[in-house]
Amino acid sequence: MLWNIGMPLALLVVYVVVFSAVLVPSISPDVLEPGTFPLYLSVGFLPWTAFADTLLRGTQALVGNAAYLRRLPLPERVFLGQSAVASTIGMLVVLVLLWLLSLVWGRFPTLAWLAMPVVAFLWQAFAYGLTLALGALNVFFRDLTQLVTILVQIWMWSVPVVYVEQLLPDTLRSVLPFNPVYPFLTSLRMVYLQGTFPPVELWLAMAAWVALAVLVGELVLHLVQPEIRDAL
Amino acid sequence: MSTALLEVDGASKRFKLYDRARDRVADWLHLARPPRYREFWALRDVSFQVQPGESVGVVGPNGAGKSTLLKLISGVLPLTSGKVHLRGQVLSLLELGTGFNPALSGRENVAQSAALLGYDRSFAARHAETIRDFAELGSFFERPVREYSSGMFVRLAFSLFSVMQPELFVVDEALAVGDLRFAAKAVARIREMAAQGTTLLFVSHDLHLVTQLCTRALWLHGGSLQMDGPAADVTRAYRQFTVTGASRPRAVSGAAAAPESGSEAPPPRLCLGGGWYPLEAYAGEVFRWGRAGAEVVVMDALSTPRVVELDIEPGPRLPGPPVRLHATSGGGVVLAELPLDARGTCPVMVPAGPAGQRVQVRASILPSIAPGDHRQLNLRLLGAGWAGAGPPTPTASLPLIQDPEGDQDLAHATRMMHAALQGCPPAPGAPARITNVRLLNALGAPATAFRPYDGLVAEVVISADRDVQDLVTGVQVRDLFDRRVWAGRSDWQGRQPLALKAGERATVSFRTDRLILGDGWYQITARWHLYPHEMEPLQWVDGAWTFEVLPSEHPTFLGLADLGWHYEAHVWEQPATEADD
Repeated sequence: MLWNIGMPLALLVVYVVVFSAVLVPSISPDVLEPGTFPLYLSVGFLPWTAFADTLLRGTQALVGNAAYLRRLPLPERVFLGQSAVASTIGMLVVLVLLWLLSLVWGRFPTLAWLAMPVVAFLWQAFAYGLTLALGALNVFFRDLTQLVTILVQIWMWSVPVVYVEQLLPDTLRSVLPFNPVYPFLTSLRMVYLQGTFPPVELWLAMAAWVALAVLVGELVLHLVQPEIRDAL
Repeated sequence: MSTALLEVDGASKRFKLYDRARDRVADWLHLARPPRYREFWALRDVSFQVQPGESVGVVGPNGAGKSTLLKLISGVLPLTSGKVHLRGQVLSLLELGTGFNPALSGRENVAQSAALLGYDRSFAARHAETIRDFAELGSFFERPVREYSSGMFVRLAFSLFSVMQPELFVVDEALAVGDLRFAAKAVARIREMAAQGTTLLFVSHDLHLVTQLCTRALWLHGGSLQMDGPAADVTRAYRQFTVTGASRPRAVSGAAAAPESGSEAPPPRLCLGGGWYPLEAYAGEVFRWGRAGAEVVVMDALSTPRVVELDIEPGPRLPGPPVRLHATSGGGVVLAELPLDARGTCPVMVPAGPAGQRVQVRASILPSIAPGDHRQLNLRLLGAGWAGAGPPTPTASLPLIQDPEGDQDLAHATRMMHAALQGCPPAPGAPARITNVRLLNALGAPATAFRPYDGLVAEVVISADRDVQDLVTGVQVRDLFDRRVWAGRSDWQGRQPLALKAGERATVSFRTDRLILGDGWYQITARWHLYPHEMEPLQWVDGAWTFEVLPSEHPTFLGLADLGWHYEAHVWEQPATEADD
């Protein structure tokens, strides 16, 4: 468990050191409260690592458990669900870390913080929906793991996880809300940094993405399921 | 409703083979027409039932579909068509051990696996000591499984398996668990479970083990059920097939060679059941006329009526009233009546119907055949798609022999011998064949009953169709469990193989002056090969002669064989002082 958070923490430190020198000086104080960049980065990057972990684990959930699937009449969902649960535990650890970090900065939890576990859970549900499809397809196309690894990296840089949103040119900023992870990210930041409850639009957006991901995931899984064990 | 524990009804499993991954996507989205896969039918229209308490063996060559069948039964693989209905839980030895976590100890793994299979916590706790002791793990039971040798690993898995009580046990292949001694222990345990009424499905290449553990066996071939019957009959037929390639079913070449493309309907398959003789031999009953019969099993559903042709081997005209043969379907409907003194063939219509129709053929009245008149009634199966080019048409035969004045047992043994020879022909193209097998007593007369310590001669007559060199004959004595009690070969004891010219016959005799077998029923297996290819017998005749060793009036031993023991008792006084030792 220690090693699971060791890697993201180390990266977090690197990002904080590097971006504090390069990026932060150019940010105006009305965008980001001076001295809070480490918090801004943590609340974006740490949940992201948990999300990415869920995606990768889920993609490999069926192939990695081929030994069981070939021999035991267990439903595929057991293994997909198991990997989602495992990564959700990682997400909970991240929330605890964030809480500790904010204490260090002398900030105390507000009532709005109750929304954080809910947002984190929705984010995981969104990831689970994607892994239903990814895990199933990976059985037939084994290169998918590599592809997902690359795409997750690109995806991370397509949203303001480590950098500050306001630095983006307006054209790019205008398409950001269409990025599926954007509402999750923004909601967490809003609660964590400003202590305000996310507005209804964000809740609706999150719910919509979760529903869409689960629906598509279920559809794909349903479509290919009869052949999964033949191909394992 | 039937009471079967397991019902497999027309089970089929098709694998889709794709050359390119993108073809698979196209098929998922129904973009390609026709679909772009090639079909491979691992299993096709297999039907059978297993009653509670039965132990059923499954035999067949590699790729016959045995593992696929087990996976369909345990629900690991989905069926393409057909039904598998199981009343209760199935547990497969194959599954066990796959769930073991290398980091956990044996005890913890037992608990975890039991939980995974749906047993409650107390189950593992209650049986942990039994499992540890049966697996002979000792203190290793508390050590992580990754420290185990492969033998210990399998022993743990089997021991866990042996305490569970599902409705159906599936034992796949690897009973070669651990060392030989543990394997024997595992077999004994399985036999014990079978005796206690556990239903067993046992898959193995070890035919001997199948006959020992199972009462019934299934022979799978190229994905279809080739034979379903008493274990001894099925293993015999299967061994015969592996020796000579005889009675090769049509389906074999199709499925094993290359997956067929498209959905061309295969012609229906037939299977000839072995009739009643071997069972009667086991029971030691006398074979009588009126009970002779053979069975034709139609393995496929028929959409139109087909013809089974009964073909009588030419012979002298039978005196007396005409004998009739009845061919009846399972429902008792008479399909044909055939006067036996007619020569030639008689078609029997098999009506359209579901797979598994059975046509029974039996003689209706007692014929008067002169003593020594041996005659076969051959059944040949004909009909469009059945007697096509290529694989041989399956045949079976009813021996028509009668010698009412003679020794019934001897007549029976002789009939059996001819039936066995007919059923076990030499390999195609073999230069010679066995034409007679019998046992003679010390007086040189054919006999079927002996007393311990009698003299006995096993006689095998071999007839050469072409010139043959290096002919080696072998004889085995097997007991009713098909265990090899003794085997001898004509090139042992410094003897040379035989050379025969075309048309010559040789009588090969194996003689013992003292038969040291215990009482019971035994069978003779005769075989021959060309030196030095002893692993490739060119003919193998099981059950060529059945004989009984009668109980001795004054027994000097009990059991399978007299090991020549001597009895002594030495009586001595207590030592004078206890300090002596």
